[in-house]
Amino acid sequence: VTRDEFEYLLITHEKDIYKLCLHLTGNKDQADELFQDTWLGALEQAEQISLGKNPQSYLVGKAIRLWRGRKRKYARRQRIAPEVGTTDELEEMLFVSNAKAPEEIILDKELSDCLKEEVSMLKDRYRVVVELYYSLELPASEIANILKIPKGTVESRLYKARKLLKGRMEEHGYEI
Amino acid sequence: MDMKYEKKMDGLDRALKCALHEDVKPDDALHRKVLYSWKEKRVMKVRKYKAAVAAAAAIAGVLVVSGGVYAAVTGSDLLAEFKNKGIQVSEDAEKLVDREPRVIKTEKAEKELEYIDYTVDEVVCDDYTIYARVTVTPKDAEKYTVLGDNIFEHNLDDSVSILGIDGVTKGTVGEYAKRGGRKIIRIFCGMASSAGEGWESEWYEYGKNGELYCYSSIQDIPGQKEYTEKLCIHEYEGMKDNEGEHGSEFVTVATDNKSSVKSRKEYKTADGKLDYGIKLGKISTVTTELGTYITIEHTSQIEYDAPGDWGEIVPEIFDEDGNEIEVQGGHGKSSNGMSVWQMNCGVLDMGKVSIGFRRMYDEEHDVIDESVIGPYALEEVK
Repeated sequence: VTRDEFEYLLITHEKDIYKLCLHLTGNKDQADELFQDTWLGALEQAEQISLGKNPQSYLVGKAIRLWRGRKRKYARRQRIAPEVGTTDELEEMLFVSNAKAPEEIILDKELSDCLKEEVSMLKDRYRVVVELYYSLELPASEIANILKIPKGTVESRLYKARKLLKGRMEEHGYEI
Repeated sequence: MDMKYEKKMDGLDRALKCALHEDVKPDDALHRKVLYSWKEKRVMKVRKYKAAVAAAAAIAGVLVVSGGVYAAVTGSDLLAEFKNKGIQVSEDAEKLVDREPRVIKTEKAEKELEYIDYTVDEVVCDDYTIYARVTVTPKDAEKYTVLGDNIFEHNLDDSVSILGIDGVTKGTVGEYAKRGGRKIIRIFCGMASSAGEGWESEWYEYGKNGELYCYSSIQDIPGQKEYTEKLCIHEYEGMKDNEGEHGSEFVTVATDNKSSVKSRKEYKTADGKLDYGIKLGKISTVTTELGTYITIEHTSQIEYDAPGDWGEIVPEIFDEDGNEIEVQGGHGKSSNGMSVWQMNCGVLDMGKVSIGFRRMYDEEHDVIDESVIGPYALEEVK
């Protein structure tokens, strides 16, 4: 990958990768760091990026692996040396999504916020496929390739996630 | 996808797309930092005042030092590791090596370790930072391959060369790990502090015979006679996130503080006033056998009517030839408008170093991260 190619990659994919980072971390500072580390990680292994071989999958996979690593590390720290902080700080560190909604097109903000909150509270195995499917609009086959799981597993997780979300939204009084 | 179900959930689909399909992008400074990293072929990390972390494993630079450095490996694996990483420590550091640290199992985990044995080989403590080295070996080397937990940042399809095993360069990580039908066992090994501040890091290296060397460091409150750190060892089956957690042990590792702080000094810039209205607070150093910890206090924003947004500035340290000295680790915080950076720079001759500042962002001049302010020679405050 030449510098021009790298710049092309960055311009082409930065919005999607940044959006993913923001949704996963739910926090701008952490999203910035994850975004940068994703690209820097890609830089270190530039020979593995091929413009003809769907670099977005590579970058998305990298971002997810880094994010998971940080979550695990924080979870371990909490087990052996629990940190005492304010509720807000702990929520931030636990990567609970509190990203503010952008312009709302169809849904009212309240419903959108509620849905995002429920997505953020899904187990990671469901949450990640929901983010990739709805946020980045990746097809199930590509998500399967990124997560190294069968396509059928992606589909069943999406199915389960939607079922869970529908139930939870109904509990909040939304019929969707 | 089940189309019937798809249709039934149409309302939820639309809602999810609307809620999650945000039009966001990284700000220009972040975009340019990534581009600049490519241009310079080096990592220009976003440096933050809150909990900034520098892992010793990431250090690539060689410190420029003078006199009395740890020149030869005398049997300490930890000191040899410093040397491998280009970190020079003084000859006196040998006395800090504790080859028989007191290891006490503090809590029995729900499931005991089944796949691995481990030994805490060495602990080195210099009154500020504690380093530990743990060797992990599979109980049955024919059945299991142990990998460090940071393998998650890579991919089983990545080249095996990233593991850095002598003579093992062909094939992928996955092929190496699964050779002969072996099961992958991932290991996390690290220390944690209740002190809150400072840096913690773990890194892993691989031996030729399937052993995994786990290095971890932690900064603790200086001046204690004995340091007792919590060490956590987890084993995971396979690569399935946390779902494969199998066993874990929590132990405390205690070591006496044998370090004698060599000096505490304060410095100021020799020519007084700094450019762009930067205000310097105290520059203080503490020198131990493992290096010099420099603390620099300064105002975080430049009082200068610069075009564009200058953003934050961060200090840097130069050797006598004007080359930037790589820091071994450090952290920063902001308090009452004053930024405080503490960095460990290995063994330094403070009489020959100077300080400067990097500006992080100047849109007008297309500069993202550049050394522009200084260097300023230092003189000791008597």
